[in-house]
Amino acid sequence: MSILVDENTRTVIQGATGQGGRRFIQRMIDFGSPPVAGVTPGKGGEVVEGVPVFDTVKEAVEATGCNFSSINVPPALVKDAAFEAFDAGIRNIFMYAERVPLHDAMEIMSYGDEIGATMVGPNSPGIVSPGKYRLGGLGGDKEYVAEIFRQGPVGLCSRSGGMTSTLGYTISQGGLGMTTAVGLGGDAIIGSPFTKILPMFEDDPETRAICMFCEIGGTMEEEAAELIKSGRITKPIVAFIAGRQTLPGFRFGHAGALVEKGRGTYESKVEALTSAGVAIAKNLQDIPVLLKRALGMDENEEGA
Amino acid sequence: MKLVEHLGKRLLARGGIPVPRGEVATTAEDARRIAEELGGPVVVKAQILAPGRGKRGGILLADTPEKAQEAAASLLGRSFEPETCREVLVEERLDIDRELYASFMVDAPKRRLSLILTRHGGGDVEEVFRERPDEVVVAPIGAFERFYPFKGRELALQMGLSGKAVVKVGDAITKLVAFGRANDCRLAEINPLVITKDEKVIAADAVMNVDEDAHFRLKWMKEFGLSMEEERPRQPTERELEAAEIDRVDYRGSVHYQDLDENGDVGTVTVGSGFSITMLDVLGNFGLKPANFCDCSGSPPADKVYKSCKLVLGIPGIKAFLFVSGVMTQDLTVTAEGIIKAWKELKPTIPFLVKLAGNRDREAYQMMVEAGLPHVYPRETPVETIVEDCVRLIEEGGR
Repeated sequence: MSILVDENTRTVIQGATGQGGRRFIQRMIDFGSPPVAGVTPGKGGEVVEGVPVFDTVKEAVEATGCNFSSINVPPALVKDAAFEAFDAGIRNIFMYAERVPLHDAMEIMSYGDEIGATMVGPNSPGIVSPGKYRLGGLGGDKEYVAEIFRQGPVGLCSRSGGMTSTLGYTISQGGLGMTTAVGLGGDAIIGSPFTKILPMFEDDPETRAICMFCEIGGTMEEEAAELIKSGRITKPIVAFIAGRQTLPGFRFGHAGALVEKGRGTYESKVEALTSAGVAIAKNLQDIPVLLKRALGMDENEEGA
Repeated sequence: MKLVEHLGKRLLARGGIPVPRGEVATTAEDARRIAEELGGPVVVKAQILAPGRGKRGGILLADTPEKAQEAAASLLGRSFEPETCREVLVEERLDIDRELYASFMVDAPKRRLSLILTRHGGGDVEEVFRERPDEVVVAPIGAFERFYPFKGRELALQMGLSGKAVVKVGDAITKLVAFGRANDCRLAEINPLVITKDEKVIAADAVMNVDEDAHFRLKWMKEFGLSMEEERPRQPTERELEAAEIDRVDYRGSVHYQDLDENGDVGTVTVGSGFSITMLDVLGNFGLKPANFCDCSGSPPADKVYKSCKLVLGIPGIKAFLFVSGVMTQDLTVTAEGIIKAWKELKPTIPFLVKLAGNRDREAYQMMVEAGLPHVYPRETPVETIVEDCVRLIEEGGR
């Protein structure tokens, strides 16, 4: 198995006819997991790369039975697109755009949580379940993607878009592979922070270890540590935390002091995750080594 | 996007929250004129963003226009690390009875809004947060929750206020919520929110962090001459300004440059923002000090890559140059073209190490080897190995 996307995913691309949407569709076709529908208001009836385009998500759902929406519209339009997908009954959405207003993200995630939707992004490069499905262009051209994301037992989740591929490759090169690799999105409010993605990997029978790419700032890692400590997550986890050498900017205003309570720094994240039993990789090359150790494998062993 | 006090106050006033009468001055003479027009004692306040302004001597009292001129003269041009004061706000001095604290913010982890309120406002409010949490009111507001005026009055009562203050502060709280929502505030903090001796409620300071990603609906950004530019913790250096120019002239790809350490060992260009931050850590793990940060990614044209290399190679005192990418989706042969041009044209005498990984990296590798670059690494080479080589080359004094 895998999480979020697999061979049963039927994706509709909202924002199918723009340059970005077209490229997204091409990448998915290239991987062998073409979307089943596209939506662009005013362009119903068109066909993009063989994919039928509808005016509304509701029509797309009725005509194609799509059950996953990839939102590829510009940032100012993401909120409207997300609510259209929810209204059409879709409960899995992915948001690609960078620079979605924070208040919009807050409304989308707040409502999505209320109706039990699963959301990824905004500001995410995509999701890939090796051998099964690719949403977006992670890994680049076809001949490269299989080398960068091999199939295997690791669930990979990353706060950084670019690092999703870099870590995927580090894991593959180290002789392991992934059930699913997901770029969580780089923003302050995202659909699936670690506290939501870790339980998905925990409940996926094929995932046997988890790799997290963390960054300084925010309290996502500290909250994940709390969840792990609660016993909800039992699978071994390896984390890399970026930003040790980065000096934080000065804090602005006083409210942050009350909310953060000293969390958000590199030290705070190392402490929280270590105390929850997570192995911290200091260098990128340590990641596959630590994962193999967690899986009870020999350092030179391949596969699993 | 952080707003300086006087802009924050102009916005608050439009939102119906009273602020002191006053004006901004960029010269000491202006400050004097403003004080004359206001009449009576004034406050002269440095318009900087860094915290602790009052404690650092950035807020001065002046009883006469002459004193206001002197105060402005002492503040203007003064350095408040990492900023320099270029403007002062000259305001009427309030007749203060009490100082409260009120802030509106987005509670990102909980995906909702939050109000933080206490009747013990002023410079020591963080101490109140720590020592007397029971006297701090934290009120969550749901993303879609309507905030009626009665709610503001209830909260004012919870703050421990009574009488007319409940009505007036309650009204200010209600307006603050509407203000924060209408202006896409990450944070809108009023400290202190003053109750004057004649029972007026006035925002004596304004700390605003507005979400610049909402620029398309914040019409006042244009009016105030604000753009979506990156925030910097200090005044930009010459090279940072040059990098911004390299980035500006071509919209394709992006260059994020920052000078880090004047005594740095290595100049770097990296590809991918998360990867760039990771590389700083890896360099540190091997005892190298990066002189700069330069993330050149998002499919930049070869010329942008070339100019970024040129800029970094020009950093005085660096002992090596590293160009390393994460595993990228962009066409790396284009990146390689820019690197080769920089190598051929500038003939660097320091070690010049390059690794590109990702889309079309094998072609890019071949191009760079054929061009005669001395240290080109294939995708398989761990970045740690390259950094180790870099350390060795520096020690040997080789190229």
